[in-house]
Amino acid sequence: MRFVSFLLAAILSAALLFVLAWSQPFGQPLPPVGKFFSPFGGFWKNAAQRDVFTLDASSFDQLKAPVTVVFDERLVPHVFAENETDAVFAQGYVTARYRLWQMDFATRAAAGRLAEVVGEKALERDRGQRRKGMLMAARNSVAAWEKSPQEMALVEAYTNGVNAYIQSLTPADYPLEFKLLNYAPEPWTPLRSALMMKNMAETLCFRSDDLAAYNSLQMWGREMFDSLHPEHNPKQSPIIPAGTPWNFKPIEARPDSLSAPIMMGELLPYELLPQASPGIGSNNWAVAGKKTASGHPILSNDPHLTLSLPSIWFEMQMHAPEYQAYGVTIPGLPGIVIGFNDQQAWGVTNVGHDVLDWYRIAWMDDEKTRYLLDDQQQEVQIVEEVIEVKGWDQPHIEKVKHTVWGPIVYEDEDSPYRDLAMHWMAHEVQEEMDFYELGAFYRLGQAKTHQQYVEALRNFENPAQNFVMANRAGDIAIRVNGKFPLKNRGQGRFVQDGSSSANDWAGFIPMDHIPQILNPERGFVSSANQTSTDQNYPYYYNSEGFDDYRGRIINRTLEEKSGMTVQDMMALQNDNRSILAEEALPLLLKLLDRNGLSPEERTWVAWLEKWDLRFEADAKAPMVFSEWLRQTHRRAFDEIYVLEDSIPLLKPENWRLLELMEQAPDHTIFDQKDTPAKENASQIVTAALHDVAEEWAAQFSDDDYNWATHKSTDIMHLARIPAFSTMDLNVGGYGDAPNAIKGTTGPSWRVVVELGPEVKAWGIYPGGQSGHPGSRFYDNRILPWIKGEYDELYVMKRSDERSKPELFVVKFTK
Amino acid sequence: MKSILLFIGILLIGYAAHHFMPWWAVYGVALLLSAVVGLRPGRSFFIGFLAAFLLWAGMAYWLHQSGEGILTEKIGVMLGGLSVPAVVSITAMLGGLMGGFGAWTGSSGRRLVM
Repeated sequence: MRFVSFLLAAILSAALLFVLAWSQPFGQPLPPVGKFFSPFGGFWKNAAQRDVFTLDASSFDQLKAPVTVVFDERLVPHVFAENETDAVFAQGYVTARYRLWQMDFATRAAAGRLAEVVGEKALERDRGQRRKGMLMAARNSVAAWEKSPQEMALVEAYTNGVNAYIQSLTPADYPLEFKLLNYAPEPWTPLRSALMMKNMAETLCFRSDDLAAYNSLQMWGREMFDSLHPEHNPKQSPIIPAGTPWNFKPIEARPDSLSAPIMMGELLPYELLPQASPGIGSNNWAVAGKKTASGHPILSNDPHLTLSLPSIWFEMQMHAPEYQAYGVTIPGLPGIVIGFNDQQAWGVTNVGHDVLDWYRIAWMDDEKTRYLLDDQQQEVQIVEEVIEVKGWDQPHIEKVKHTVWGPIVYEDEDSPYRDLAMHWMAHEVQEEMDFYELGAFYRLGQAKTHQQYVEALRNFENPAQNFVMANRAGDIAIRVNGKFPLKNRGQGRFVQDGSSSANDWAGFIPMDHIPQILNPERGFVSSANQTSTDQNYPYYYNSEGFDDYRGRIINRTLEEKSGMTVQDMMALQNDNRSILAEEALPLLLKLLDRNGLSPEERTWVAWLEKWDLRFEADAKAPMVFSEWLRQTHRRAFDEIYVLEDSIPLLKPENWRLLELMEQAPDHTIFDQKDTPAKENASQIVTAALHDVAEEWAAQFSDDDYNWATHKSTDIMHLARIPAFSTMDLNVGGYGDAPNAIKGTTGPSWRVVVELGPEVKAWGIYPGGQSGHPGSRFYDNRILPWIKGEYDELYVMKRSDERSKPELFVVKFTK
Repeated sequence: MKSILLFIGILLIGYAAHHFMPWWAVYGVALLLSAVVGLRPGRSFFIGFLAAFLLWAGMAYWLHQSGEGILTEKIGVMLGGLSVPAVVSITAMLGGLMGGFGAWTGSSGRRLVM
């Protein structure tokens, strides 16, 4: 009897412990129940508010002197150090304290190391990252940095700071997401920071339409292709004002041929590689004192990126004898990326020139190990990428073939970009220089004159950015800054023949020849991802993705206004008006045949006729407009949409659709291929409105359904856990308006800096300083961001200054 | 008296042990203490369950309170829409079951050898 009782107890105990230790009732990747629910180590440990921390007994060998960090009431750290290395060490420590999991996850994702923690389901994604050469590119960066003592000093100080924090953790202290995914943080390395830079490059300059453009060219033929996809939008307002003279003697790409040879051949019906969302883009501008009410220059910047939680940016002030700057940092990178000091401010938008070209390889054997180049046989180099997979005994080995152009991203049947080699600027092995991109950001923080800003940017190569600048001395400037390939006219727009080295980039545009301007006559500089220059710039560059509308409305507004104030700048950043609507709506309404409209269609037309062209959250007209324009595009280019699922093809840009509707309403493109009649633009527009009715009548007639509901903006957690995300924001905005809030992208940081005797700044981002979902600083700035509010940034002069209340102070001791 | 001893023992030593041992610490503590104290198995289970239940519930509730409940609510949503009391109750049940089965195993084991 006693034995039976013991046996029963033991069996039931074993069963209980087994279930708690192994079962995942809530599914992968949630950890086993016992560990996760334990209030002594599981998620509960992360439930307590831990925004405030102390370093009572800690001392740090790497420090040369004590560091004081004051956290203000928005949890912004103000780092006061006696030397620059210590300041960067503290930056690493403090950033990791609030953002460690994000830093780990973002760099893991970039490197193709997700399967290691989430298992087989991430293997395909990891393979893609490896085959794209992300890890290789980051290793190349570190190899270059190692030749620069300045760059290494920055990266190592940051690395030491992050690792000092990681070493202080016990498993119970790990950020929640480590517990959820059931893995442990690993030490930070310079390679991780390099991966963060390549993550930026992937977001900002991986866009390539070569394959789609090539197919479109084969399908349409040259004449029709050029008619549908002109490279130059005549209404565009370039970054460097049209007519600006170029005071240099350009070098020629290939003097022997004016145009790049265009390869013609069969269609390449491969899938496209995933690319950054087309909502990626940004605005920045600087207005000279002669156009502001105060007489001081004002600089504004709002980078539009995929909105996520934890937030992309981490706000910080850094104060050391030779480095004093305030701004936003990217967790994982030392220094401040967008910011200002007591004399000067700077900001960035993406340049977007096409720096990723694809080459078709002519194989010479079935195994695809030899290929033809200039009538010579070349051997591929095989690089083995080792991918660890959680739950597998053996790692997955990915063999990637490298050619003179770059890696063959895919070679199997039915895979994307089959047998095409990729030549990407972010893969380039950088030459030996005194500093690199991180050093450039660091020097921008130090720069107090235009000359120093130019000096800081001379080594900033990739990803190319439009760096805007303004200073107290009254200078305003912008540089389209990066290393750009030297190309013949038209080169790199299409897939090229990889068997001729004449198709290679002929070199690079000299840094002195990049588009730039200082103190233009018009009294402002600006950029919004539009084309960099007018047609007279002597070098060829291309992109199918230049912005067509934000730059124009920003330039128009800055042109018209004078006596501008900080509030005007904020209003422009939050402006929901779009020139696309200004130009498209009158055309749509003019071409619409109003006979036979249904009652609801008549209601919609009435909404549109009364519309102020602003994409406000509670408005109804914008949802009708955006759907109507979309359906018009589909009907006009039905030839392309029917092939959408089988062949990648370029879609004409909206500005060209409007131009055709206006100038050539009887163009053959408006003829519907599946009807015997020959349609014109008017019939297309009218049919498109009926399409909208068919698809959206129910929603649009619902009183509660408005533009915000229709657009449906979400700020997702990085691991896409809805409980840690903020969904369905009640917010306006439009991709082609200055306030470019779309479904998943938008202004990730809005900042306005006034460069008066005392530099003042206002900023906000949609998230919060803490990356911990249990913190009250996790998402506390989202609502004020929606309302268009700003926080006045607290620039401290001394660590013992107390002009605003602080949350707490931490002292790092040696 | 023995019951109170076992109850307080699991509560205090369990709390301490959890800071050094993995999540199953309370199981081990309940097992050892009930083997020493020597109550009947049924009573041991009851006392073990109660003590460990309160230990885990109390700790969870305290962390919930000190975190203003922000994370508890999110975890509840993540687990398919559980309420805060449900999340705390599940936690307490898991602790309670470990304490109960640990104490039962300890006391029946003692009877086997003594």
